[in-house]
Amino acid sequence: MILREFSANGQSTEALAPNSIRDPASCRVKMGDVNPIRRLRSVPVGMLDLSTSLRNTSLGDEASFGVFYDLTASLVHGVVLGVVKDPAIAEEVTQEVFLELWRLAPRFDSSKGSPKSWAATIAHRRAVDRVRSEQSRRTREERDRQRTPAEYDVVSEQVVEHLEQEHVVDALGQLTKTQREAVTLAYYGGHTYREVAVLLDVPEGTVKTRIRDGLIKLRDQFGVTS
Amino acid sequence: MNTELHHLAAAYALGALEAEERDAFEIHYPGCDICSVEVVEFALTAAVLGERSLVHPRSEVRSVVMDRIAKTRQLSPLVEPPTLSVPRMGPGDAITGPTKQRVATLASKGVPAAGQWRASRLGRTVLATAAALLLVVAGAIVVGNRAEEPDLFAQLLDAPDAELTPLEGETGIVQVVWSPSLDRVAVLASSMPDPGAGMTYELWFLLEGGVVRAGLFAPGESGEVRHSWDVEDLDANGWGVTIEPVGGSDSPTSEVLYVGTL
Repeated sequence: MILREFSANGQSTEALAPNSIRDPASCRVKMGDVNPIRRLRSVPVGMLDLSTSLRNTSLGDEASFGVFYDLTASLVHGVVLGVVKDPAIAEEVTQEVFLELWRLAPRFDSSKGSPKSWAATIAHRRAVDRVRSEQSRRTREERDRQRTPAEYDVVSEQVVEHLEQEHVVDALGQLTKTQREAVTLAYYGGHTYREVAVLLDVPEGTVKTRIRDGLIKLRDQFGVTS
Repeated sequence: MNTELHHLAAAYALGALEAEERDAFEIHYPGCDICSVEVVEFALTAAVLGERSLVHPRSEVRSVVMDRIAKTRQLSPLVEPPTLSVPRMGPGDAITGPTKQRVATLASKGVPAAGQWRASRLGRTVLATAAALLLVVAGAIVVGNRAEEPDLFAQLLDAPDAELTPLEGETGIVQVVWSPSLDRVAVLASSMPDPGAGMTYELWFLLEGGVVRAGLFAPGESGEVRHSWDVEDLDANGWGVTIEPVGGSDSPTSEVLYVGTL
């Protein structure tokens, strides 16, 4: 799919821009190459970037979705695990998230955010939905009790890559204590602002304001603009 | 109401709204210059928060995902709507630009994305008109005892959580009344076209990421529909109607003819 697109529209130069290839050593196509298109065919799809992989995913290309998965899996799973906590349930939710991302890829609108924010938003929403539906139904509880402890161990041992990202931790450190509390309970805790108000025993309006002020501060620190 | 909604973008981006508020905000923000910008910015901000702990899932997850996507159809992209004839909503209530476009867009994509609904003053007027009409219809059903199961209709309409949704289509309006507590839905219409030989109307729940069948119904000879049945308990955010072969389909095969959002 990708290759066909490159050869069809003659965009091979742009497609070969170094920033779309993760390993600079593999970027060896020279002006004099007889057939750059032929050469492109040997470039593993894994070398393409997030936007490209998403664009090709939207055309139904499964290999590109594999690339998209590889580039976003730790973000998606990190978000999901952070909210749902249980590693086994988190895996289920992560699967659902990627299925959703696959289905929705043709509707991705780059004017409404980056591929990363899109994936993170859907991941967080799915995780929160899962936590909230469990709260109300409690059907999982029994299943959890029946699950053997050994199963937990296998799963958690294999969660090898767990990186605390300092820039995020630092930015959160810049918030006032009350802002950080509200933002953290809402986003990482998966609580609604009403629930946060109950947890902190402050009025709902206060929580809304803390969340808003905190997020504005974070937005400015992260240098986010739309 | 609006002042309150304006301050929800941050909580929305953090997923900290309850379902009803989230739905209300999703109807509000696409049409609001301030909120639509904030939603994008705060979503980007929340995504950075999401990067705090990167956790790579086990390799099995990837295999399962790749296996499942190979068997899953992707949604079609959103396209500009074709020109539709202008349906009439009621006396003096011709559908104008945005609403018409909304109907067409929803119809053309089959499944609405929650964030893309717009509330319009017209929509609310239509809702009010429809509610008034429905009361008349309901009265007729109960008093005139013409429906097949008048007590079920009355029970449904009396339910405190009964929600009326007018579904707009090219040929008019179909009313859907739904009570999640009773798990019951009713479809009411006065002049629906014949779906054709071997065909029937199918009602669909519109959910966040797709549609689920809600049931089948067919108009009588005069195009009248008064039909009520039990449905699953689902977190629907709208309704759609398509024409399907008798017996119904598992997923919509025709374009969406009537659509309405809760």
